[in-house]
Amino acid sequence: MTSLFHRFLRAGVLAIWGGVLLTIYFTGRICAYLHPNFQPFTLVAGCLLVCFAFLVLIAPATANAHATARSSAWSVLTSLLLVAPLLLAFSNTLDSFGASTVANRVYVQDLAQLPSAQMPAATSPSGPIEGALPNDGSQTAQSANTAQDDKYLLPKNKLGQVQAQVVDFLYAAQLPEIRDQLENKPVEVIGQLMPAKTNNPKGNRFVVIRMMMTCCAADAQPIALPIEPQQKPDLPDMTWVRVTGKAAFPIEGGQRKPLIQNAALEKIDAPEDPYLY
Amino acid sequence: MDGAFHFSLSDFSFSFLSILLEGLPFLLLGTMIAGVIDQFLPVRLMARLLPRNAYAGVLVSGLLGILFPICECGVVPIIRRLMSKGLPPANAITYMLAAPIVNPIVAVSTFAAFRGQAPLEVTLLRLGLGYGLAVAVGFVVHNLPLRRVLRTEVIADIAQPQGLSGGAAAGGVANRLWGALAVCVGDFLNMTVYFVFGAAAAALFNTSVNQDFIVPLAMNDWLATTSLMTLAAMLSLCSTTDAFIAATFSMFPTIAKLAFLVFGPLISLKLVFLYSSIFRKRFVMGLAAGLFVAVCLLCLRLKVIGL
Repeated sequence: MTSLFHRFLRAGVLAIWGGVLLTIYFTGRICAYLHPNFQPFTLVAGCLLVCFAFLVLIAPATANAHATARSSAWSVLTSLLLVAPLLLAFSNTLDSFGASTVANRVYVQDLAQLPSAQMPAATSPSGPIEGALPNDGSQTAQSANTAQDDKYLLPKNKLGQVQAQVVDFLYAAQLPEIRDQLENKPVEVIGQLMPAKTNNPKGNRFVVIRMMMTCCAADAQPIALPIEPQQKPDLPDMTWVRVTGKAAFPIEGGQRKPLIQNAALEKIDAPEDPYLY
Repeated sequence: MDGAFHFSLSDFSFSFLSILLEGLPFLLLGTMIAGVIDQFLPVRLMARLLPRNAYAGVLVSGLLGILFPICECGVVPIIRRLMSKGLPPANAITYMLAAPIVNPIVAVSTFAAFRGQAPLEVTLLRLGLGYGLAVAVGFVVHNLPLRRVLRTEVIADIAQPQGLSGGAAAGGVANRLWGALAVCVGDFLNMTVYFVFGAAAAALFNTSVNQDFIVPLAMNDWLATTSLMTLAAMLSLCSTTDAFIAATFSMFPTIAKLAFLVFGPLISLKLVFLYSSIFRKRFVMGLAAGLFVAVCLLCLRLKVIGL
Protein backbone atom coordinates (compact mmCIF):
# COMPACT_ATOMS: atom_id res chain seq x y z
CA MET A 1 0.00 0.00 0.00
CA THR A 2 2.83 2.38 0.98
CA SER A 3 4.69 1.45 -2.18
CA LEU A 4 1.64 2.25 -4.28
CA PHE A 5 1.22 5.58 -2.48
CA HIS A 6 4.83 6.59 -3.13
CA ARG A 7 4.55 5.51 -6.74
CA PHE A 8 1.46 7.64 -7.35
CA LEU A 9 2.99 10.55 -5.46
CA ARG A 10 6.14 10.61 -7.60
CA ALA A 11 4.19 10.07 -10.80
CA GLY A 12 1.80 12.84 -9.83
CA VAL A 13 4.57 15.34 -9.18
CA LEU A 14 6.25 14.51 -12.49
CA ALA A 15 2.95 14.70 -14.36
CA ILE A 16 2.09 18.10 -12.84
CA TRP A 17 5.50 19.53 -13.75
CA GLY A 18 5.31 18.06 -17.23
CA GLY A 19 1.74 19.29 -17.64
CA VAL A 20 2.65 22.85 -16.61
CA LEU A 21 5.61 22.93 -18.99
CA LEU A 22 3.53 21.62 -21.90
CA THR A 23 0.63 23.96 -21.13
CA ILE A 24 2.93 26.98 -21.09
CA TYR A 25 4.49 25.82 -24.34
CA PHE A 26 1.35 24.97 -26.29
CA THR A 27 -0.63 28.02 -25.16
CA GLY A 28 2.13 30.24 -26.51
CA ARG A 29 2.84 31.71 -23.08
CA ILE A 30 6.38 30.41 -23.47
CA CYS A 31 7.19 33.44 -25.68
CA ALA A 32 6.82 35.70 -22.66
CA TYR A 33 9.23 33.63 -20.61
CA LEU A 34 12.11 32.43 -22.76
CA HIS A 35 14.35 33.50 -25.59
CA PRO A 36 13.27 31.63 -28.76
CA ASN A 37 16.46 29.55 -28.65
CA PHE A 38 15.44 28.03 -25.32
CA GLN A 39 11.77 27.40 -26.03
CA PRO A 40 12.13 23.93 -27.64
CA PHE A 41 13.86 22.63 -24.49
CA THR A 42 10.66 23.29 -22.55
CA LEU A 43 8.69 21.12 -24.96
CA VAL A 44 11.22 18.28 -24.73
CA ALA A 45 11.43 18.47 -20.93
CA GLY A 46 7.64 18.55 -20.60
CA CYS A 47 7.24 15.48 -22.81
CA LEU A 48 9.98 13.60 -20.92
CA LEU A 49 8.43 14.38 -17.54
CA VAL A 50 5.02 13.14 -18.64
CA CYS A 51 6.63 9.97 -20.04
CA PHE A 52 8.57 9.46 -16.81
CA ALA A 53 5.36 9.86 -14.81
CA PHE A 54 3.81 7.06 -16.85
CA LEU A 55 6.92 4.86 -16.55
CA VAL A 56 7.04 5.34 -12.77
CA LEU A 57 3.48 4.03 -12.60
CA ILE A 58 4.26 0.86 -14.58
CA ALA A 59 7.81 0.29 -13.26
CA PRO A 60 8.54 -2.96 -11.40
CA ALA A 61 8.45 -2.71 -7.61
CA THR A 62 12.24 -2.95 -7.32
CA ALA A 63 12.66 0.26 -9.32
CA ASN A 64 10.63 2.15 -6.73
CA ALA A 65 12.36 0.67 -3.69
CA HIS A 66 14.44 3.83 -3.19
CA ALA A 67 11.34 5.98 -2.95
CA THR A 68 9.57 3.81 -0.41
CA ALA A 69 12.62 3.98 1.89
CA ARG A 70 11.38 7.42 2.96
CA SER A 71 8.50 8.12 5.27
CA SER A 72 5.16 8.99 3.74
CA ALA A 73 5.04 12.28 5.63
CA TRP A 74 8.43 13.33 4.27
CA SER A 75 7.45 12.36 0.74
CA VAL A 76 4.19 14.32 0.96
CA LEU A 77 6.06 17.35 2.32
CA THR A 78 8.69 17.35 -0.45
CA SER A 79 5.99 16.78 -3.06
CA LEU A 80 4.11 19.80 -1.76
CA LEU A 81 7.30 21.84 -1.86
CA LEU A 82 7.70 20.84 -5.48
CA VAL A 83 4.16 21.34 -6.65
CA ALA A 84 2.68 24.18 -4.60
CA PRO A 85 5.11 26.97 -5.62
CA LEU A 86 4.86 25.91 -9.25
CA LEU A 87 1.06 25.97 -9.31
CA LEU A 88 0.86 29.19 -7.29
CA ALA A 89 3.23 30.93 -9.67
CA PHE A 90 1.51 29.46 -12.71
CA SER A 91 -1.86 30.81 -11.62
CA ASN A 92 -0.73 34.18 -10.24
CA THR A 93 1.33 35.70 -13.01
CA LEU A 94 0.28 38.11 -15.72
CA ASP A 95 3.11 36.86 -17.96
CA SER A 96 4.78 40.26 -17.91
CA PHE A 97 6.54 42.56 -15.50
CA GLY A 98 4.69 45.40 -13.84
CA ALA A 99 5.94 48.91 -13.25
CA SER A 100 7.44 48.16 -9.83
CA THR A 101 9.84 45.52 -11.14
CA VAL A 102 10.89 47.61 -14.11
CA ALA A 103 11.43 50.58 -11.82
CA ASN A 104 13.51 48.34 -9.54
CA ARG A 105 15.91 47.59 -12.38
CA VAL A 106 18.55 49.96 -13.57
CA TYR A 107 17.64 51.50 -16.91
CA VAL A 108 20.13 50.79 -19.68
CA GLN A 109 20.76 54.15 -21.31
CA ASP A 110 24.27 53.60 -22.55
CA LEU A 111 25.53 51.20 -25.19
CA ALA A 112 28.26 49.95 -22.85
CA GLN A 113 25.59 48.60 -20.48
CA LEU A 114 23.78 46.68 -23.20
CA PRO A 115 24.28 42.91 -22.64
CA SER A 116 24.63 41.92 -26.28
CA ALA A 117 26.18 45.11 -27.61
CA GLN A 118 29.34 44.87 -29.64
CA MET A 119 30.82 48.31 -29.22
CA PRO A 120 31.89 49.33 -32.70
CA ALA A 121 34.92 51.45 -33.35
CA ALA A 122 33.84 55.06 -33.47
CA THR A 123 35.88 55.69 -36.55
CA SER A 124 34.52 52.72 -38.45
CA PRO A 125 31.32 53.78 -40.11
CA SER A 126 29.95 50.52 -41.40
CA GLY A 127 31.29 46.99 -40.95
CA PRO A 128 31.00 46.37 -37.20
CA ILE A 129 27.44 47.63 -37.04
CA GLU A 130 25.94 44.86 -39.11
CA GLY A 131 24.79 42.06 -36.87
CA ALA A 132 25.63 43.99 -33.76
CA LEU A 133 22.18 45.41 -33.37
CA PRO A 134 19.70 43.34 -31.43
CA ASN A 135 16.74 41.75 -33.16
CA ASP A 136 13.31 43.17 -32.69
CA GLY A 137 10.87 40.44 -31.84
CA SER A 138 7.85 42.59 -32.55
CA GLN A 139 8.61 43.02 -36.24
CA THR A 140 6.72 46.31 -36.15
CA ALA A 141 9.73 48.24 -37.32
CA GLN A 142 12.25 46.37 -39.36
CA SER A 143 15.16 48.57 -38.56
CA ALA A 144 17.99 46.76 -40.22
CA ASN A 145 18.37 46.90 -43.94
CA THR A 146 21.80 45.56 -44.64
CA ALA A 147 21.11 43.21 -47.49
CA GLN A 148 22.20 45.50 -50.26
CA ASP A 149 25.17 47.11 -48.65
CA ASP A 150 26.91 47.35 -45.34
CA LYS A 151 25.21 50.59 -44.37
CA TYR A 152 22.67 50.41 -41.57
CA LEU A 153 19.53 52.13 -42.89
CA LEU A 154 16.53 53.02 -40.79
CA PRO A 155 13.14 52.86 -42.55
CA LYS A 156 10.61 55.68 -42.74
CA ASN A 157 6.83 55.61 -42.27
CA LYS A 158 4.25 57.17 -44.60
CA LEU A 159 4.61 60.55 -42.87
CA GLY A 160 8.35 60.55 -43.51
CA GLN A 161 9.22 59.93 -39.86
CA VAL A 162 12.21 57.70 -39.26
CA GLN A 163 11.06 54.46 -37.63
CA ALA A 164 13.58 53.42 -35.03
CA GLN A 165 13.77 51.14 -32.05
CA VAL A 166 14.69 52.35 -28.59
CA VAL A 167 17.99 50.54 -28.89
CA ASP A 168 18.80 52.27 -32.18
CA PHE A 169 19.12 55.53 -30.25
CA LEU A 170 21.76 54.01 -27.96
CA TYR A 171 23.79 53.04 -31.01
CA ALA A 172 23.15 56.39 -32.62
CA ALA A 173 24.63 58.17 -29.60
CA GLN A 174 27.88 56.35 -30.34
CA LEU A 175 27.85 56.07 -34.11
CA PRO A 176 27.76 59.17 -36.30
CA GLU A 177 26.47 57.14 -39.25
CA ILE A 178 23.27 56.19 -37.44
CA ARG A 179 23.05 59.51 -35.64
CA ASP A 180 23.00 61.32 -38.98
CA GLN A 181 19.80 59.48 -39.87
CA LEU A 182 18.08 60.55 -36.66
CA GLU A 183 19.43 63.83 -35.32
CA ASN A 184 17.04 66.79 -35.75
CA LYS A 185 14.71 64.59 -37.81
CA PRO A 186 11.12 63.53 -37.09
CA VAL A 187 11.16 60.06 -35.61
CA GLU A 188 8.73 57.38 -34.47
CA VAL A 189 9.45 54.84 -31.77
CA ILE A 190 7.31 52.49 -29.69
CA GLY A 191 7.80 51.38 -26.10
CA GLN A 192 6.34 51.44 -22.62
CA LEU A 193 6.01 54.72 -20.76
CA MET A 194 7.82 55.10 -17.46
CA PRO A 195 9.00 58.02 -15.32
CA ALA A 196 12.58 59.15 -15.83
CA LYS A 197 14.75 58.26 -12.85
CA THR A 198 17.81 60.34 -13.73
CA ASN A 199 18.76 63.39 -15.81
CA ASN A 200 15.43 65.02 -15.16
CA PRO A 201 16.21 68.36 -13.49
CA LYS A 202 13.07 70.14 -14.77
CA GLY A 203 10.80 67.17 -14.10
CA ASN A 204 9.49 67.22 -17.67
CA ARG A 205 11.12 64.03 -18.89
CA PHE A 206 9.83 60.50 -19.14
CA VAL A 207 11.32 57.43 -20.76
CA VAL A 208 10.01 54.85 -23.20
CA ILE A 209 11.46 51.46 -22.40
CA ARG A 210 11.77 48.12 -24.18
CA MET A 211 12.77 44.99 -22.29
CA MET A 212 15.79 43.25 -23.76
CA MET A 213 15.93 39.53 -23.05
CA THR A 214 19.18 37.59 -23.06
CA CYS A 215 17.96 34.14 -21.97
CA CYS A 216 14.76 34.45 -19.95
CA ALA A 217 12.41 37.09 -18.59
CA ALA A 218 14.28 37.16 -15.29
CA ASP A 219 17.34 38.63 -16.96
CA ALA A 220 15.43 41.11 -19.14
CA GLN A 221 16.71 44.65 -18.77
CA PRO A 222 14.82 47.86 -19.57
CA ILE A 223 16.43 49.79 -22.41
CA ALA A 224 15.32 53.38 -21.86
CA LEU A 225 15.03 56.36 -24.19
CA PRO A 226 14.34 59.74 -22.56
CA ILE A 227 11.52 61.85 -24.05
CA GLU A 228 10.22 65.35 -23.42
CA PRO A 229 6.45 65.25 -24.08
CA GLN A 230 4.50 68.22 -25.37
CA GLN A 231 2.29 67.88 -22.29
CA LYS A 232 2.46 65.68 -19.24
CA PRO A 233 0.97 62.33 -20.29
CA ASP A 234 -2.09 61.13 -18.42
CA LEU A 235 -1.26 57.46 -18.87
CA PRO A 236 -0.40 54.77 -16.32
CA ASP A 237 3.18 53.53 -16.08
CA MET A 238 4.07 50.72 -18.54
CA THR A 239 1.41 51.81 -21.05
CA TRP A 240 2.44 50.92 -24.60
CA VAL A 241 2.81 54.12 -26.60
CA ARG A 242 3.87 55.31 -30.03
CA VAL A 243 6.10 58.33 -29.60
CA THR A 244 6.69 60.83 -32.39
CA GLY A 245 8.92 63.84 -32.11
CA LYS A 246 12.30 65.28 -32.98
CA ALA A 247 15.44 63.30 -32.17
CA ALA A 248 18.24 65.13 -30.42
CA PHE A 249 21.58 64.05 -29.00
CA PRO A 250 22.62 66.67 -26.43
CA ILE A 251 25.82 66.36 -24.43
CA GLU A 252 24.82 65.79 -20.79
CA GLY A 253 27.28 64.99 -18.04
CA GLY A 254 30.08 64.84 -20.59
CA GLN A 255 28.31 62.19 -22.65
CA ARG A 256 26.16 62.33 -25.74
CA LYS A 257 22.67 61.18 -24.75
CA PRO A 258 19.67 60.47 -26.98
CA LEU A 259 16.44 62.40 -26.40
CA ILE A 260 13.14 62.86 -28.21
CA GLN A 261 11.94 66.44 -27.92
CA ASN A 262 8.44 67.82 -28.36
CA ALA A 263 7.13 64.27 -28.20
CA ALA A 264 3.54 63.33 -28.98
CA LEU A 265 2.28 60.15 -27.36
CA GLU A 266 -0.36 57.79 -28.69
CA LYS A 267 -1.55 54.77 -26.75
CA ILE A 268 -1.20 51.52 -28.72
CA ASP A 269 -1.70 47.80 -28.20
CA ALA A 270 1.25 45.76 -27.00
CA PRO A 271 3.20 44.24 -29.89
CA GLU A 272 2.97 40.50 -30.44
CA ASP A 273 6.47 40.02 -29.05
CA PRO A 274 7.26 42.74 -26.54
CA TYR A 275 10.94 41.89 -26.19
CA LEU A 276 14.09 42.93 -27.95
CA TYR A 277 16.72 40.18 -28.21
CA MET B 1 8.19 52.29 -5.91
CA ASP B 2 10.83 54.54 -4.43
CA GLY B 3 11.67 52.20 -1.56
CA ALA B 4 14.41 49.60 -1.44
CA PHE B 5 11.93 46.72 -1.49
CA HIS B 6 8.63 46.33 -3.28
CA PHE B 7 7.02 42.91 -3.68
CA SER B 8 4.62 42.06 -6.48
CA LEU B 9 3.29 38.50 -6.49
CA SER B 10 2.60 38.58 -10.21
CA ASP B 11 6.10 39.80 -11.07
CA PHE B 12 7.70 37.40 -8.62
CA SER B 13 5.73 34.51 -10.13
CA PHE B 14 6.69 35.59 -13.64
CA SER B 15 10.40 35.76 -12.85
CA PHE B 16 10.27 32.54 -10.79
CA LEU B 17 8.61 30.60 -13.62
CA SER B 18 11.00 31.95 -16.22
CA ILE B 19 14.01 30.76 -14.22
CA LEU B 20 12.40 27.35 -13.70
CA LEU B 21 11.50 27.00 -17.38
CA GLU B 22 14.99 27.91 -18.45
CA GLY B 23 16.91 25.72 -16.01
CA LEU B 24 14.70 22.69 -15.63
CA PRO B 25 15.57 21.00 -18.95
CA PHE B 26 19.26 21.12 -18.00
CA LEU B 27 18.53 19.71 -14.56
CA LEU B 28 16.54 16.90 -16.15
CA LEU B 29 19.32 16.15 -18.61
CA GLY B 30 21.84 15.98 -15.77
CA THR B 31 19.75 13.55 -13.74
CA MET B 32 19.13 11.35 -16.79
CA ILE B 33 22.86 11.06 -17.39
CA ALA B 34 23.39 10.41 -13.67
CA GLY B 35 20.91 7.54 -13.85
CA VAL B 36 22.68 5.97 -16.81
CA ILE B 37 26.08 6.34 -15.14
CA ASP B 38 24.79 4.83 -11.93
CA GLN B 39 23.51 1.74 -13.68
CA PHE B 40 25.86 1.24 -16.62
CA LEU B 41 29.29 2.54 -15.54
CA PRO B 42 31.57 -0.21 -14.21
CA VAL B 43 33.53 1.05 -11.20
CA ARG B 44 36.76 -0.50 -12.39
CA LEU B 45 36.59 1.54 -15.56
CA MET B 46 37.31 4.69 -13.56
CA ALA B 47 40.17 3.00 -11.73
CA ARG B 48 41.62 1.85 -15.05
CA LEU B 49 41.67 5.34 -16.43
CA LEU B 50 43.79 6.66 -13.58
CA PRO B 51 47.62 6.71 -13.73
CA ARG B 52 49.51 4.87 -11.01
CA ASN B 53 51.42 7.99 -9.94
CA ALA B 54 49.37 9.61 -7.19
CA TYR B 55 49.76 13.20 -8.37
CA ALA B 56 49.12 12.28 -11.99
CA GLY B 57 46.10 10.36 -10.74
CA VAL B 58 44.77 13.46 -9.02
CA LEU B 59 45.31 15.52 -12.16
CA VAL B 60 43.38 13.00 -14.25
CA SER B 61 40.64 12.63 -11.61
CA GLY B 62 39.88 16.30 -11.99
CA LEU B 63 39.03 15.69 -15.63
CA LEU B 64 36.86 12.60 -15.18
CA GLY B 65 33.75 14.75 -15.08
CA ILE B 66 34.18 15.30 -18.80
CA LEU B 67 33.59 11.60 -19.38
CA PHE B 68 31.37 10.95 -16.38
CA PRO B 69 29.43 14.15 -15.72
CA ILE B 70 27.47 14.31 -12.52
CA CYS B 71 26.23 17.15 -10.37
CA GLU B 72 27.28 17.86 -6.80
CA CYS B 73 24.26 16.15 -5.26
CA GLY B 74 24.83 12.85 -7.02
CA VAL B 75 28.60 12.72 -6.75
CA VAL B 76 28.81 12.42 -2.94
CA PRO B 77 27.25 8.96 -2.61
CA ILE B 78 29.15 7.81 -5.68
CA ILE B 79 32.59 8.73 -4.35
CA ARG B 80 31.83 6.98 -1.09
CA ARG B 81 31.09 3.81 -3.08
CA LEU B 82 34.17 4.33 -5.23
CA MET B 83 36.40 4.76 -2.15
CA SER B 84 34.99 1.66 -0.58
CA LYS B 85 35.96 -0.17 -3.75
CA GLY B 86 39.56 1.02 -3.63
CA LEU B 87 39.68 4.43 -5.30
CA PRO B 88 42.21 6.60 -3.36
CA PRO B 89 40.49 9.33 -1.31
CA ALA B 90 42.57 12.11 -2.91
CA ASN B 91 41.35 11.03 -6.35
CA ALA B 92 37.80 10.64 -5.11
CA ILE B 93 37.74 14.10 -3.51
CA THR B 94 39.23 15.67 -6.63
CA TYR B 95 36.56 14.03 -8.76
CA MET B 96 33.88 15.04 -6.25
CA LEU B 97 34.87 18.71 -6.38
CA ALA B 98 35.69 18.95 -10.08
CA ALA B 99 32.94 16.87 -11.68
CA PRO B 100 30.08 19.27 -10.90
CA ILE B 101 32.00 22.03 -12.71
CA VAL B 102 34.32 20.38 -15.20
CA ASN B 103 31.73 18.59 -17.28
CA PRO B 104 30.11 19.20 -20.67
CA ILE B 105 26.60 19.86 -19.36
CA VAL B 106 27.81 22.67 -17.13
CA ALA B 107 29.97 24.02 -19.94
CA VAL B 108 26.99 24.14 -22.30
CA SER B 109 24.59 25.61 -19.73
CA THR B 110 27.11 28.25 -18.62
CA PHE B 111 27.83 29.24 -22.19
CA ALA B 112 24.11 29.42 -22.96
CA ALA B 113 23.23 31.39 -19.85
CA PHE B 114 25.97 33.97 -20.36
CA ARG B 115 25.08 34.53 -23.96
CA GLY B 116 25.94 38.14 -24.61
CA GLN B 117 28.03 38.39 -21.42
CA ALA B 118 31.44 37.04 -22.52
CA PRO B 119 30.20 33.43 -22.53
CA LEU B 120 33.44 31.82 -23.71
CA GLU B 121 35.60 33.59 -21.15
CA VAL B 122 33.21 32.89 -18.27
CA THR B 123 32.82 29.23 -19.24
CA LEU B 124 36.54 28.57 -19.67
CA LEU B 125 37.45 30.39 -16.48
CA ARG B 126 34.75 28.57 -14.54
CA LEU B 127 35.99 25.19 -15.71
CA GLY B 128 39.63 26.18 -15.29
CA LEU B 129 39.26 27.52 -11.78
CA GLY B 130 37.07 24.59 -10.74
CA TYR B 131 39.64 22.13 -12.03
CA GLY B 132 42.60 23.94 -10.46
CA LEU B 133 40.96 24.20 -7.05
CA ALA B 134 39.82 20.58 -7.07
CA VAL B 135 43.31 19.38 -7.97
CA ALA B 136 44.86 21.60 -5.28
CA VAL B 137 42.52 20.10 -2.68
CA GLY B 138 43.37 16.62 -4.01
CA PHE B 139 47.11 17.27 -3.54
CA VAL B 140 46.52 18.51 0.00
CA VAL B 141 44.36 15.50 0.88
CA HIS B 142 46.98 13.16 -0.56
CA ASN B 143 49.42 14.48 2.03
CA LEU B 144 47.01 14.35 4.96
CA PRO B 145 46.46 11.33 7.18
CA LEU B 146 43.09 9.76 6.41
CA ARG B 147 41.94 10.10 10.03
CA ARG B 148 42.01 13.88 9.62
CA VAL B 149 39.90 13.72 6.49
CA LEU B 150 37.44 10.85 6.60
CA ARG B 151 34.94 9.74 9.17
CA THR B 152 35.86 6.64 11.14
CA GLU B 153 33.30 4.38 9.51
CA VAL B 154 34.46 5.41 6.04
CA ILE B 155 38.07 4.63 6.97
CA ALA B 156 36.85 1.25 8.15
CA ASP B 157 35.28 0.65 4.74
CA ILE B 158 38.52 1.55 3.01
CA ALA B 159 40.50 -0.71 5.33
CA GLN B 160 38.37 -3.60 4.19
CA PRO B 161 38.00 -2.84 0.50
CA GLN B 162 35.42 -4.66 -1.49
CA GLY B 163 37.85 -4.78 -4.41
CA LEU B 164 37.49 -3.36 -7.85
CA SER B 165 35.60 -6.25 -9.24
CA GLY B 166 32.26 -4.56 -8.84
CA GLY B 167 30.69 -3.47 -12.05
CA ALA B 168 27.56 -1.57 -12.70
CA ALA B 169 24.28 -2.60 -11.19
CA ALA B 170 23.47 -6.26 -11.45
CA GLY B 171 20.81 -7.60 -13.77
CA GLY B 172 19.91 -7.37 -17.45
CA VAL B 173 19.62 -4.27 -19.54
CA ALA B 174 15.91 -3.92 -18.81
CA ASN B 175 16.50 -4.00 -15.06
CA ARG B 176 19.31 -1.48 -15.39
CA LEU B 177 17.09 0.82 -17.43
CA TRP B 178 14.41 0.66 -14.75
CA GLY B 179 17.13 1.35 -12.21
CA ALA B 180 18.39 4.29 -14.24
CA LEU B 181 14.85 5.66 -14.35
CA ALA B 182 14.54 5.32 -10.58
CA VAL B 183 17.85 7.13 -10.00
CA CYS B 184 16.95 9.80 -12.53
CA VAL B 185 13.50 10.45 -11.05
CA GLY B 186 14.82 10.33 -7.48
CA ASP B 187 17.65 12.76 -8.21
CA PHE B 188 15.36 15.00 -10.22
CA LEU B 189 12.78 15.28 -7.47
CA ASN B 190 15.42 15.79 -4.77
CA MET B 191 17.35 18.44 -6.65
CA THR B 192 14.33 20.24 -7.99
CA VAL B 193 13.39 21.09 -4.40
CA TYR B 194 16.68 22.96 -4.02
CA PHE B 195 16.23 24.50 -7.45
CA VAL B 196 12.75 25.74 -6.58
CA PHE B 197 14.15 27.46 -3.47
CA GLY B 198 17.03 28.90 -5.46
CA ALA B 199 14.77 30.16 -8.22
CA ALA B 200 12.42 31.71 -5.65
CA ALA B 201 15.30 33.51 -3.92
CA ALA B 202 16.65 34.74 -7.25
CA ALA B 203 13.18 35.85 -8.40
CA LEU B 204 12.62 37.72 -5.15
CA PHE B 205 15.97 39.43 -5.55
CA ASN B 206 15.34 40.25 -9.20
CA THR B 207 11.86 41.68 -8.86
CA SER B 208 11.58 43.14 -5.37
CA VAL B 209 14.92 44.70 -4.56
CA ASN B 210 15.51 48.14 -5.99
CA GLN B 211 18.81 47.66 -7.78
CA ASP B 212 19.59 51.35 -7.51
CA PHE B 213 20.17 50.68 -3.81
CA ILE B 214 22.60 47.82 -4.37
CA VAL B 215 24.63 49.54 -7.04
CA PRO B 216 27.24 50.59 -4.44
CA LEU B 217 27.58 46.93 -3.33
CA ALA B 218 27.88 45.71 -6.89
CA MET B 219 30.33 48.48 -7.74
CA ASN B 220 32.85 47.35 -5.13
CA ASP B 221 34.68 44.24 -6.32
CA TRP B 222 35.41 42.88 -2.86
CA LEU B 223 31.86 43.36 -1.58
CA ALA B 224 30.32 42.13 -4.81
CA THR B 225 32.47 39.00 -4.94
CA THR B 226 32.07 37.98 -1.31
CA SER B 227 28.36 38.75 -1.26
CA LEU B 228 27.64 36.66 -4.36
CA MET B 229 29.77 33.80 -3.00
CA THR B 230 27.76 33.89 0.22
CA LEU B 231 24.57 33.94 -1.81
CA ALA B 232 25.78 30.92 -3.81
CA ALA B 233 26.41 29.02 -0.58
CA MET B 234 22.97 29.95 0.72
CA LEU B 235 21.05 29.15 -2.45
CA SER B 236 22.68 25.70 -2.90
CA LEU B 237 21.85 25.64 -6.59
CA CYS B 238 22.62 22.76 -8.91
CA SER B 239 25.69 23.44 -11.02
CA THR B 240 23.79 22.56 -14.19
CA THR B 241 21.43 25.50 -13.68
CA ASP B 242 23.17 28.01 -11.43
CA ALA B 243 24.59 29.90 -14.41
CA PHE B 244 21.09 30.90 -15.46
CA ILE B 245 20.57 32.51 -12.07
CA ALA B 246 24.03 34.08 -11.91
CA ALA B 247 23.55 35.63 -15.34
CA THR B 248 20.56 37.59 -14.05
CA PHE B 249 22.70 39.53 -11.53
CA SER B 250 23.32 42.09 -14.21
CA MET B 251 24.51 44.78 -11.83
CA PHE B 252 27.38 42.71 -10.50
CA PRO B 253 30.80 42.54 -12.14
CA THR B 254 31.72 39.41 -14.07
CA ILE B 255 34.36 38.38 -11.53
CA ALA B 256 31.69 38.29 -8.82
CA LYS B 257 29.42 36.16 -11.00
CA LEU B 258 32.37 33.89 -11.76
CA ALA B 259 33.05 33.52 -8.03
CA PHE B 260 29.37 32.60 -7.59
CA LEU B 261 29.68 29.95 -10.31
CA VAL B 262 32.91 28.44 -8.97
CA PHE B 263 32.19 28.52 -5.24
CA GLY B 264 28.56 27.34 -5.30
CA PRO B 265 29.22 23.84 -6.68
CA LEU B 266 32.20 23.40 -4.34
CA ILE B 267 30.62 24.49 -1.07
CA SER B 268 27.04 25.25 -0.17
CA LEU B 269 24.70 24.70 2.75
CA LYS B 270 23.35 21.61 1.05
CA LEU B 271 26.83 20.24 0.38
CA VAL B 272 28.11 20.86 3.90
CA PHE B 273 25.48 18.40 5.09
CA LEU B 274 26.24 15.94 2.32
CA TYR B 275 30.03 16.16 2.80
CA SER B 276 29.64 15.59 6.53
CA SER B 277 28.28 12.13 5.80
CA ILE B 278 31.77 11.13 4.58
CA PHE B 279 34.28 13.65 5.88
CA ARG B 280 35.13 14.84 9.36
CA LYS B 281 33.34 18.07 10.29
CA ARG B 282 36.62 19.87 10.96
CA PHE B 283 37.83 18.93 7.48
CA VAL B 284 34.58 20.14 5.92
CA MET B 285 34.80 23.47 7.75
CA GLY B 286 38.46 23.88 6.77
CA LEU B 287 37.60 23.00 3.19
CA ALA B 288 34.80 25.59 3.14
CA ALA B 289 36.95 28.35 4.62
CA GLY B 290 39.93 27.56 2.38
CA LEU B 291 37.86 27.45 -0.77
CA PHE B 292 36.06 30.68 0.13
CA VAL B 293 39.36 32.54 0.47
CA ALA B 294 40.92 30.88 -2.59
CA VAL B 295 37.95 31.49 -4.90
CA CYS B 296 37.60 35.08 -3.73
CA LEU B 297 41.27 35.93 -4.21
CA LEU B 298 41.54 34.16 -7.55
CA CYS B 299 38.45 35.84 -8.98
CA LEU B 300 39.52 39.27 -7.73
CA ARG B 301 42.91 38.66 -9.30
CA LEU B 302 41.21 38.07 -12.64
CA LYS B 303 40.28 41.74 -12.68
CA VAL B 304 43.74 42.34 -14.13
CA ILE B 305 42.71 40.66 -17.38
CA GLY B 306 39.80 43.05 -17.72
CA LEU B 307 37.06 40.62 -16.73
